[in-house]
Amino acid sequence: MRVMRPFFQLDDQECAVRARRGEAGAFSELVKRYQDRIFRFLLRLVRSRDDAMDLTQDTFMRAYQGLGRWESQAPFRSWLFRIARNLAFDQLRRGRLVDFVDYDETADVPDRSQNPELALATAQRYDMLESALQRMPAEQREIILLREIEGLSYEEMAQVLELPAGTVKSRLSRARLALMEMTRAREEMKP
Amino acid sequence: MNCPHDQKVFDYADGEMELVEKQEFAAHLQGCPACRQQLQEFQLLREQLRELPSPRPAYDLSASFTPGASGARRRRMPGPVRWVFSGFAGLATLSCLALGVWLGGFLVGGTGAMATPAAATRVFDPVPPGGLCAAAELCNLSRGIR
Repeated sequence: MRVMRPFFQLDDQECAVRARRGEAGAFSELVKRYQDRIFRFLLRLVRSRDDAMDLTQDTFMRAYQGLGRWESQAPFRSWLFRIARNLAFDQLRRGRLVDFVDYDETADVPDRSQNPELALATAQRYDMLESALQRMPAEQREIILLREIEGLSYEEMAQVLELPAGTVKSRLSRARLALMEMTRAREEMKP
Repeated sequence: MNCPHDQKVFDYADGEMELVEKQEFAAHLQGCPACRQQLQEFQLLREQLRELPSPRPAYDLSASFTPGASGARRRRMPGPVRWVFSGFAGLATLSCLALGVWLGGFLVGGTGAMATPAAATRVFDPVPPGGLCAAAELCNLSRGIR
């Protein structure tokens, strides 16, 4: 008798294949693995907590409904981020004006009880970085998020963005330089 | 080389160089303060980005996709909150409709139960309905009581 491994022991591709066969528990496992990452990517991209939550839900609904079109040779992660990214840019093109997001509510924050001065400096550094990210154009921001925070390879980013890897590389370089310039300028402004 | 050579710095930091190129650039870094500083700044920035706190979704979405859940159900707000909100909204709507019908009855008139037009204008009298009369001439009363 063939013993089926539990979903949490399967890699993404195996889970996705089983979800495509109709096993809802397999898709639920994928949602558990990726909902935090998709949400934080979308939150930093669209800069609205409510929109990010809606878009995260939409991303997984689209993925669930579109599993029949997913090619098992393509990495599931790239496919999922592509759905999320496209939904976010549809939203951004609709031109909603949003305020900067306060990230403090649900995220881990430095423990202020251990070393208050260090905790304050760390919190200020986080604020400065988040602020710099939010001021970047969306196309530059997304490429920084995909590479530096989500850790996607150039090939995966090329699949998400539907661009040649060479174009991804040059866009990433420009985005990195822009972010370095912004953070350098903020550091120089400090008393 | 025009330094800092940004793309080489990034390729080196990303581990994207072949072995020979990597060794050559490492030697270049020894003697180039501009490239060295660029590399250090970028590596620090990357480390700080990776340390950023990770915001989390307000609730667990995986429950919508567990066996037994009726497909992927869209959820705008938690269930009890949604039901209370829609209950209050419905009650408020019905109340407004009932009040409007009742008030409209005063404007239309015509039934025995409705106030007559004369009675309805009593509110504009110097003495409101049920109030004490300050002087007989105000209330059209004859002097003295018979």
